[in-house]
Amino acid sequence: MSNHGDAVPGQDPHVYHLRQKCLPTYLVIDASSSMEPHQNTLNRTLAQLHATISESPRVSEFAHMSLIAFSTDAHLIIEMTDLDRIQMMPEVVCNGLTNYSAAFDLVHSRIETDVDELRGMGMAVLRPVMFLLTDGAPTDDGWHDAFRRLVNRSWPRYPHVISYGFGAANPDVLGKVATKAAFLADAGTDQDHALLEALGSLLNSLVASSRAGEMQIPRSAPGFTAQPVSEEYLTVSAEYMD
Amino acid sequence: MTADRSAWALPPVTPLTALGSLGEQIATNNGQSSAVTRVSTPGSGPDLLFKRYKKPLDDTDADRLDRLVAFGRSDAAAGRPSREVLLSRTSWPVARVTDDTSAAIGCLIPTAPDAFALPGGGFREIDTLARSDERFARNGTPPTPEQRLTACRCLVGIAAALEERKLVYSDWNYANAFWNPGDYSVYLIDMDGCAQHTGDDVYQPGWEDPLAPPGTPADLHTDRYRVALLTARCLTGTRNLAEVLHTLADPPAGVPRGAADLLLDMLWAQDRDRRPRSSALLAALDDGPLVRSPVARSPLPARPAVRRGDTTQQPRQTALTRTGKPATGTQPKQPQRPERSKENVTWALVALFVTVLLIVIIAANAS
Repeated sequence: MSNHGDAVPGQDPHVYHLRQKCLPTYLVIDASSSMEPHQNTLNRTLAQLHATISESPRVSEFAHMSLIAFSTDAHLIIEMTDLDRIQMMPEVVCNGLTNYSAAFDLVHSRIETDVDELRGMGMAVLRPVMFLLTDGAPTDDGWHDAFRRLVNRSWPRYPHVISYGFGAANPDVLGKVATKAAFLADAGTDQDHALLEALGSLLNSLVASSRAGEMQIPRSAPGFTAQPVSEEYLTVSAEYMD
Repeated sequence: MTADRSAWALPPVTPLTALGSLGEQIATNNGQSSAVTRVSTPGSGPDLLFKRYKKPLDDTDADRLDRLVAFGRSDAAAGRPSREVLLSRTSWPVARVTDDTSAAIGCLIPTAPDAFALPGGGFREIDTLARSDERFARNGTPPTPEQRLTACRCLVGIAAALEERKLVYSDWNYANAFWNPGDYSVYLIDMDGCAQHTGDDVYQPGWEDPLAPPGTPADLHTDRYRVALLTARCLTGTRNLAEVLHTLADPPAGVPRGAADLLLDMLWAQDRDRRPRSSALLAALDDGPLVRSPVARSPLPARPAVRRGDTTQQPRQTALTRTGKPATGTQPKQPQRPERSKENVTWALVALFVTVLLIVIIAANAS
């Protein structure tokens, strides 16, 4: 059925419909040394994700994406873009510690930049979403404060966060670094398989979101068990960043 | 539906139990359906799919579906071009499917022909035709303007056939039409939602009728806007609406001026009731007589600035990256040219024959 509830009141309908909806999506990947045995799978899966999304322009133009990898430090690998514009994915090299704070702080600063840029392009920008993939526990002390800063509701651009954990991921921590959903790979699941499933779940979520025109949070992920998400961070439905 | 009448061996209202064991599930939670599953009932003719709805249809919708099914089975309109178009180029519903309480839980539809399938599974959505020549060139040869026109004629031909029957489709979007890179034909799915005169306004972001008040059912004027938008995007390879409008205002070579004008009228008329018919657009795409009444259009919006994202980007090189390999996707490939491979085999056999002959001659001389 029709759903025009997201129209901007008082605007000329022609003007509103010229604005393309955009969901800024951050894929934040743990590239610490514990991920090294799974590096090849990770890179293959990222390449496949890229191939699939760039063959579905309706998804890539809706869910603009940025790729951030972190270990001892956090690095912006792909700036926020329509992934169809990227000719090839880089390969991630895994080494170092698991510094969550660096990743969360980088996402925070990138959101400020990216939302401004996307709005400058005339897009109707939805609340950002961050998918966190991690196989371990944080090695830094300040991760909890960094996450609080990122998802603090007094910051108008706080993102939704969905986390996927496998390997040595700590279930308690996983639920504390998510606002909408947290998934822990089932015991005994092969880690390579878990990685594949996590990125598959992410992809399905983006396809469903592009169809609906708003963020669709996965309720489950094959091979993963949903973890309780800290009530502290439960958020409301998607909104525009206007 | 399908022009193959053997599909109608099943009754127009078919109990789920008559379908036997269902085959592979090819889609889940897609639009109004909870699952789409292959059906392999012996003697049912072409490959059929069972589309199970998320909730059973009410009586009004069940009657509506029955009328669509009956249209496919009736001989009353046999031979009419519009009927042939709808039965051969769309997934016209074959039967309504009921559960043991007689609730309408789904319908039977034909599978799209193999020509529209992707090698790795799934179908080639028109989404991938509605992209620029530059993007096509990254993985192969872009379609020619004439090939784009061919696909658009096929698409608008389906729209005109629906319009002739006063049927509203509403769900025009990138995912509901497939295209064939061999002959640039188009196939439309999800026909079971069609309704006479007005129907549910199926919401798809980016396809909203700008002149329809919120909550208004979709009608023939809604369809004209959406058909024009999809056609213009495929014809020009441009997706942003403002960019589409400006491209039509100054059409590139290969886009007929008359068709561009009609598309602009359909998209940007000040009065939605004044949007031209799809049949007029089809005639213009066919280089036929241009039937165009004066239509007052809204002023064109500002042309969007060139965006950072419009150019190809490269990932950053950091301590955590190294250069990757190009992604291999399911990009449409140009049709293979078997003659070339046959030619190669022939030459290889000739070379082998000459080599063997030389060996025999040398051996004979040596002895």
